[in-house]
Amino acid sequence: MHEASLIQALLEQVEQLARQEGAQRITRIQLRVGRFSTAVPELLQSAFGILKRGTLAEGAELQIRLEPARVQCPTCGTVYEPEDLPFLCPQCGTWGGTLLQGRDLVIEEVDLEL
Amino acid sequence: MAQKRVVLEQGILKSNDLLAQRVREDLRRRRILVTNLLSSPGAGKTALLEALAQHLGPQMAVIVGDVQTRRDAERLERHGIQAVQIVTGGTCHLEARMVLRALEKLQGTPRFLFIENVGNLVCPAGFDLGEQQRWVLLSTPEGDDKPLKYPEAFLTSQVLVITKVDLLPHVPFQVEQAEAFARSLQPDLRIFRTSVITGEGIPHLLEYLEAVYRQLFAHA
Repeated sequence: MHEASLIQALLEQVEQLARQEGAQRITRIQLRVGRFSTAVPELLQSAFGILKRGTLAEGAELQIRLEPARVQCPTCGTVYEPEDLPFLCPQCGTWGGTLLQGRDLVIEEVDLEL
Repeated sequence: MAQKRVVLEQGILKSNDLLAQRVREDLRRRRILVTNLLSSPGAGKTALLEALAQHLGPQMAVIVGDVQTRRDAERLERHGIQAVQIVTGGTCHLEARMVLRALEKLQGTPRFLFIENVGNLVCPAGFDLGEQQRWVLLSTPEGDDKPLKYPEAFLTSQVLVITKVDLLPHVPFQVEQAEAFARSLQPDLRIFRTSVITGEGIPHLLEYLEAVYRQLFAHA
C-alpha cells in the first residue's frame, strides 16, 4: 500500500540524477527488491506506470530484480535461502535465524539518453 | 543520441534515511530517547502509552500518527503529557519528514519520546523515522502466527510487547508459540507480556526504558 510513496522517492532520485547528467530522458531503471522489503513488485510496477507520467522517466522501463532472503543458522552457522517461514536450517534443522539479506530496496542502474 | 548507463546502487529511501538520521542526531544531542511503536490497528498502542504516562508523566511525550482525527492525541493529553498529532490524510505509514515537522511543535525536553505509528503491520516497517529503538506490539486477540504472516515489523524491531495478556484465558492465542515465531525471525528480540488492565509487565517495561536511557546517555 506504500508502494506509491516508494515510487515517488525513486522518481525524485532518478530525475535528480538525470538533471545532474544533463540527460534528455530516462529509458530504464533497474531496482533490487528484497523478499522481506515490504514492497510488492506488481504494485511497484502499477505505481510506476501512473506516477512516471510527466517526468523524465515517462518512457522508461522499470526492471525489478528480486533479491532472495539469506539467513544464518544460529546453531551451525550455515547460510541458506529460506523457502518459507518460519526459517528452518536445511543442515541441522534449527528453527529460526538471523536475516543477512533480503530487505533491500535499491536502485542498481539507470539508463539515460543524453 | 548518446546513451549512458549509471550504476547507482543507492537505496530507494535515501532521502527519508537522511532525514531520519537528522532526527536521530538532533534528539540524541537533546538526550531524548525515541521509540517507534508499530502494530495493527487496535493492538493497544495508545492504551500502552497511557499506562506508561501514569508513571512517567511529563517526562514523556508522544508524536502520534493516524489517518484521520486528533482523537489519540486528546486521549494522551488527558494524562498530562504532550502529544503532537500527525494526520496523514490517507497515508498508511509515517515518514521521517513528518516527524521532523512534528518535532518543531514539541516543547521542552522530555526524556522519552514515543512515536505512535499508523496502525498497520506492513508499511511502517519500511520507514526509518530516526528512532533509537523500535517496538512491535501484538495483542492476544490477534493470531499467534502474526509474526510469520507479517514478518517485516518483527524483523526490524528490538522489542516485542505482547498486549492484553489478561485476555489469555478467553482467546486461543498461545503466548509461547507467538514468542517462538517472533524469535525465529529476530533471535535477539526482547519480549514483554503486558496488560494495561491488570498492570502486568508495565514495571518491567519502565525498567527497560530506564536501562536503555542510561546506556545511551551514560557518557555525558
